Amino acid sequence: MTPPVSTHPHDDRLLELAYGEVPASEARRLRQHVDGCPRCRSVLDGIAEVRSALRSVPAERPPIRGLDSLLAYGEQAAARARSRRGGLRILGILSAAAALAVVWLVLPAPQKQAKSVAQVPAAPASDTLARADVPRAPAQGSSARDEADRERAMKAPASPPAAAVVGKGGRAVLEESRASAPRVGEPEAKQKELAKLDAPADRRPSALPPEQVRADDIAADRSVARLNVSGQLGGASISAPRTAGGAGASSVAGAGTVAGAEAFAAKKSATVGQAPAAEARSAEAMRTEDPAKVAAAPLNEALAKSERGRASADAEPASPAGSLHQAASAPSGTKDGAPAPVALAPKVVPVQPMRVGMGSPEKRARLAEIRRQLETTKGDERKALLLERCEIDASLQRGPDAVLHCSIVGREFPGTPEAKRAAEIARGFSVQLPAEVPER
Amino acid sequence: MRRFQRGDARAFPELVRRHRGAVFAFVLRWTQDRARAEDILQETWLKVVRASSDWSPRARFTTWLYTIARNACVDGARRERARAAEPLEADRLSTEAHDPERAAGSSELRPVLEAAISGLPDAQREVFLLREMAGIPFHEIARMTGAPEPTVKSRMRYALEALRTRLTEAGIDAPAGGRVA
Repeated sequence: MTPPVSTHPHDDRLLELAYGEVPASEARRLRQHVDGCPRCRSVLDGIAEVRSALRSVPAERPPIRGLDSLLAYGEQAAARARSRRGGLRILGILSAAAALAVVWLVLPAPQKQAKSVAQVPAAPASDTLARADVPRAPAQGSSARDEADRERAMKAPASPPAAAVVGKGGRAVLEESRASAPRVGEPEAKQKELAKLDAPADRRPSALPPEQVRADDIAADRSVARLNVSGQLGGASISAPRTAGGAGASSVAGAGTVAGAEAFAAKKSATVGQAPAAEARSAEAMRTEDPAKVAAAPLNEALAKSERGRASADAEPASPAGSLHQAASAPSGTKDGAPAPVALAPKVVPVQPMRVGMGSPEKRARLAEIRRQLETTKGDERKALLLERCEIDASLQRGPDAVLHCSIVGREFPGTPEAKRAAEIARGFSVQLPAEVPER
Repeated sequence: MRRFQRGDARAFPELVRRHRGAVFAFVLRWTQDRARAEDILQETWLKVVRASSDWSPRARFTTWLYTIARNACVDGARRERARAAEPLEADRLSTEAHDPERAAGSSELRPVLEAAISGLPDAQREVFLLREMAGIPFHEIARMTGAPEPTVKSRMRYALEALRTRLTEAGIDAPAGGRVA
């Protein structure tokens, strides 16, 4: 049994004791002291008294207002997370399969070559591949050349070379020729056949030197990283062959099958913020994407920004990226003069800005102006400003902001037509796709 | 939260069900204004959704959640000061008066306690609410607020002493459960 504390513990310690933040053994000792010490007991009683009073007051019920839209927003976020995870899983499987195929194509040739070089240093690779299958091959330096000569001699007796058939029986030579003749062409045929399986004709891994494979891999990897934007937006809108090719190449260079998916995931976070174009993105997919998610692409930054206050968010300078809505509806023009060719795309697809919620500069400027005015105005003018902010937020696809700001109209001016209009926008926003709201 | 990150649609309503009431109580006691508290509550949860992928299981969810709520309260207070609108107390009282259900549910103790809490200096109220309402340990409060842990504990002690004094002055003796004397 541990001895009780003889001197008064520090008040901080008693505070921790009251809140259960002291380890059990020390708590026992402290309690023993408190039991026999009126001063310390009084400190603990004081704390307990306040806590007890606080607990005796029933908690205020949280408001129902805003709950529906919040849950709908959460549901959308969960759906996006699901589609992201599903996309990554598919990519992982595809990249693993592609990597295996590429490895199977690339690795055997050098291995066989090395084996044949050990047996017949001077023989061409295609020939040695066949000879490697011959178990009893003598493989003694120049004898291979002799055998080839003998083979030619058997096939073309009219013009035998000088030292044609010396020292070996015809049967052995025939065997040798049977073994080698059809197999000389086999690796090439096999390679061609297998290369057909690898869809893009210009990416025949076995035909490329390692450096080139690596260079291609980097390019392909980049293109996959670009494509992943559409993956995030549309879930399943990533085109499988392209992804497989890119990820497969990635894993060859990275010497890992799963590494392809991981590298993809790592690049993904880096790429979303910069938002190069994703030609596989469909308008439907974009509509289902939550604007706030894309707007807050690097989420750390978004959280920090929102915590710095909405003022800065509203008055934020124009991002190089524009709204997703613009990206979806704009033609193939190069808005903001920022085209970015997609590596594996057959044609150059113009980059459209990905950041959602950053609409026209006029609207952003107006939002900033409204913010400033809201600090001083009251009454009808304030009501009109609040509604305008709600409408602009909605038109800019700022889902959460729109819901929040629209709800403020209802709270501050309940029962007014403006409140009704704001509620309508907010309600519609939570249950309808964000892109549809501005049209209402 | 992990389930929500993985895309489980049922996880978020569960989180909301578990924590929304407590967060509201925390925010309400911080702001002392129901309308503002409702806005901050909504803002807090929207931020939770937006930043859900940032949350790591290494951090306690409640600490993370209340950090967001606390920052929203601080920002809200800053905005409110800048706005310099009507007195907050008037807002609060008028809201209370127009809600008969809530007024009936309030005990005599509530207004005294709320007034006592709102009378605390900001730094003390912050620590008191984070520890008492949100249940966040002192060392985590220290991290959240950027104050040294001993300072956090001192603030808590001062807050408790001040509240106890106010309750005693109001004739409330609550050793056995907050009875009104």
